[in-house]
Amino acid sequence: MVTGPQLDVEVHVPDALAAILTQQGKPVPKPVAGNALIDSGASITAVDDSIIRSLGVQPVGIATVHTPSGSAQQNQYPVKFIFPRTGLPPLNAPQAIGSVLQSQGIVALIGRDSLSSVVFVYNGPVGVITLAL
Amino acid sequence: MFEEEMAYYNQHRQDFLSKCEWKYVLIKGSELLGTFNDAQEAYTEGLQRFGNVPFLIKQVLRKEQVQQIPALSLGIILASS
Repeated sequence: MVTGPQLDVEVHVPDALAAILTQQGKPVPKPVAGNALIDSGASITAVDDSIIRSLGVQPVGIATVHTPSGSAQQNQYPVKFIFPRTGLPPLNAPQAIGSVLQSQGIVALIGRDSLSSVVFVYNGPVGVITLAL
Repeated sequence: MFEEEMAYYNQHRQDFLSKCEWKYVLIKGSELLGTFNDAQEAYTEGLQRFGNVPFLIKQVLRKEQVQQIPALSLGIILASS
């Protein structure tokens, strides 16, 4: 199976929430590591719903998402992604969609809202991704 | 979730469109807490006002967006080559 353009990712609480928790003397939840799939076919970034909820992040919106049988409403969450050992800066997605992703082997799906600020090259034959800011 | 907030937004939508199209509104219950240039600003303000609880951040748009994630909606992330 070809896994496509994937990279290691850590799912973190947003910086603003980490700052509030620290001010209140509460522990900042530890990030959850996994794989992120870069998906230029997706209009928006998504994060695994169970992971973001396990970090204590509360929803900040609802989005309408197209499905084969019509449309569905899904919660939106602020989330910070860190891509370890890549040299890439953190990616803040202020309104990522919460979806069931873990069962599909990923914890995040990076969509065009996030890709709009980078140059993305996928060299399929050698399995190399290039992301440039 | 956000039934009360969305009802408030829809009730005031035309007013928002005339005054702050493309900006982000922060709504909790039936109260508008402010308009912001980006969603992160609105989130920081919401956290400072209410703490870590749900509140609605919504971009004011003339045409509501329907997001597309075909790999998920069609279940083809794990498709074999």
